[in-house]
Amino acid sequence: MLLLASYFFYGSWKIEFLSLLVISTICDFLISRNIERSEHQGKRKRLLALSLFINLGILFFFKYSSFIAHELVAFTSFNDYQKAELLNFFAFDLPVGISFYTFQTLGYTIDVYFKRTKAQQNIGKFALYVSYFPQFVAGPIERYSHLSPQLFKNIKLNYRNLSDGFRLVLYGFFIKMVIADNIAPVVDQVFSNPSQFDSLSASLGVFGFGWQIYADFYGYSLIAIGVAKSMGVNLMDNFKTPYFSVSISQFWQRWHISLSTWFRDYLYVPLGGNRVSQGHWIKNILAVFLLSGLWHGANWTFIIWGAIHALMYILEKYFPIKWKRTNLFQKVTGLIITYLTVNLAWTFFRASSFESAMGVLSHISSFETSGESLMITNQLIILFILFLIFEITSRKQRIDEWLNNFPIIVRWIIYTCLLFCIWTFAGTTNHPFIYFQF
Amino acid sequence: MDILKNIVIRLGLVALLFCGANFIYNQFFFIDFLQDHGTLLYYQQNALDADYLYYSASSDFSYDPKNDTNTDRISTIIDDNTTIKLKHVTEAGHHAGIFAPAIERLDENEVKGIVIVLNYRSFSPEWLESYNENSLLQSRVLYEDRPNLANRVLMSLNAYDQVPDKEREEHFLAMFRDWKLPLEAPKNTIDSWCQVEKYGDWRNPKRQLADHLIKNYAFDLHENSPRMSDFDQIAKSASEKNLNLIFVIIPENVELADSLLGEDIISIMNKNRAFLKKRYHKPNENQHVLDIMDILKDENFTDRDYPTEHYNFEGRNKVAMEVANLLNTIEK
Repeated sequence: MLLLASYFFYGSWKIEFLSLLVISTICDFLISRNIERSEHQGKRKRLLALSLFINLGILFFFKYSSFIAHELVAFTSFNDYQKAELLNFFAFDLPVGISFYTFQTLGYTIDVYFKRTKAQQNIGKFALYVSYFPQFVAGPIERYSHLSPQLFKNIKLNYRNLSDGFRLVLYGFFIKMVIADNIAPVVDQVFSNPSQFDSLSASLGVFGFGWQIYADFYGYSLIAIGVAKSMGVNLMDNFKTPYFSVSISQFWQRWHISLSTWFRDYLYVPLGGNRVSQGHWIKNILAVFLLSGLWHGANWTFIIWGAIHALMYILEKYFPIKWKRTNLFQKVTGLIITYLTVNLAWTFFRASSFESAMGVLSHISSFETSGESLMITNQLIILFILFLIFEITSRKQRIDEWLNNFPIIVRWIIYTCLLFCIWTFAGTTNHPFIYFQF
Repeated sequence: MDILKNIVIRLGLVALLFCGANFIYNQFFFIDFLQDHGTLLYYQQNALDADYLYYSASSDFSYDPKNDTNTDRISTIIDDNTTIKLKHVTEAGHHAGIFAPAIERLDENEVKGIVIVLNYRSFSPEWLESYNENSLLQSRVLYEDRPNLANRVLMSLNAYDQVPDKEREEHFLAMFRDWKLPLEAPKNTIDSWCQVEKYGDWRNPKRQLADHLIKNYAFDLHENSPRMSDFDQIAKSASEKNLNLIFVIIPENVELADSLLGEDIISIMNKNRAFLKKRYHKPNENQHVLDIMDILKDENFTDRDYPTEHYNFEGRNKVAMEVANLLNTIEK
């Protein structure tokens, strides 16, 4: 039933992309079983390579062929019409969730190869692991060993799970619809024409995007986790107040945790991690962050975004801020540096091109006082402060657990407040979840 | 059973909260939100002290910036020349599909009557599939006859038909190709007619203008034409709410169309006007059609490169006086 529901959920968007999901599922199911059965190391490696080739090949074709075509066409002698025809040929719709489910199935195959998990013998159960609808479209990217035991037991409705799930979904909708979707038009104004605004306004737009993408993706993650929780399935947390991080390395322990741990376990560690020479370690860090950037999108701006994080990560190793729990100055310094770095890097993530990103950053650094001021309503400021209050007070626990600390009357006052904000103040411009485009 | 009981109780609480929230929203937030996102309804809400409401697109207020010394709206001129009080409910680019739900929200006898600009071009493919349509449909969500907070929520959930611009373009190109016109080939479709017009190549401004006129004026109206159901809905609402209804077929540049395209285009426009009058002119039921499509000359139209219903002061004044005379006759 759950498998049918998941396939229906995905197929209702575009039925033809369901076939890609099925192909990927069948390939990894068969390959993994054969990996497990085979004792011959060479054959096991070849089978793993085949799985990587098929999954990454499909991902590459849909996600990167247009980008490659764009870059290569500049070197051809085609006329404008021929160039447009060629680029049009590669202008595919990106199957929703392909980056996420590809990594999920690859992780499973790699775990089977390293004998960290046994191959699933039931194709229905494996298909359910791949396509489980709450987390399928944009994560969290779940490990087979964590998700499968929960999915394959009898799911019984339980009031506590429903209640916790509702809280997560409610808060998720609040931060997506009220915070992210109201910040979005403000950010759009700045990025569409930064020179129209004074430098302060332009910088507000840049930092605004940092909060927009956080609220957007965190909101989605909470909704996914909440829906799963209501069925008694616990998905992994994907965010832990990342903007309170005091270093880039800590930021990546708190931001998009399912992706960062995936890269750590399936790329960084197999490459040697930090148990290698300095030069080799730097290469490992660059590989992880550049590929992480590329995973997000087929554009040089994402690669640059990854490179900035790699550079800061490496610099932190050589110039560490050795903070102690009691040293407030060091913690605040680390927090400010990390926050500024992450948000300035987001400029490349958000901009459509390198030139556009540099245009925004150079406008900010010019300290231009002429130009329009960004119109930010009092309503948005109040809502953002409310969001920050929730973030600060609930930073040590997930929101559903934090709410359990209060008596029922207080909880219902909070629910009322959140519901009223969603009903009355949700953004009205059309802004789909940002991570759906990956 | 316990789970079910808990869920039902909580859902009931949420429903109660919604009712309370709807009350607070109506009191403190609704009007401000309408001002930004649903201006047509905002104008309607603020015009209910009038006897007649005048629904229109930009024809009401556009003017000739170079030559007009008087920039009065058509609705203002009407109001100044009638015994009744008339207020405008006008917004650029709006059409019957947006007027209809707003009018549905009027209470019975809330006003004496409504004047609807029956914009001929709003039946044409490019207006039916205008790139503006998504934002109009978004605001239309606010006009539906539901609790205002429910409309607000549905709007933020994008509960309307969002069609990408590329798809809209495909739709109207298909209409140009497939819609049948009551003329002999090759003028029996918009596409084929545009191909045979005699003004030479596409860089000739006359050729471009002829092309625009065909695409905006050439279509064959029947009861299942797109947009017809919106006008039907307005007529039905007016009847149910006991409102006098005047449809005004406002002036199009018939003189220019005649000079560039001749009898073919005139015959189509006349056929369509006759259809609309036959369908909606029912004086015994307090429904009138004022057909003033050809009362203006080419010089009264301010836009020279594309057919619109934007008039200079002389044009606006003529239109207003025709409407005012009819209103004075009805209200005598």
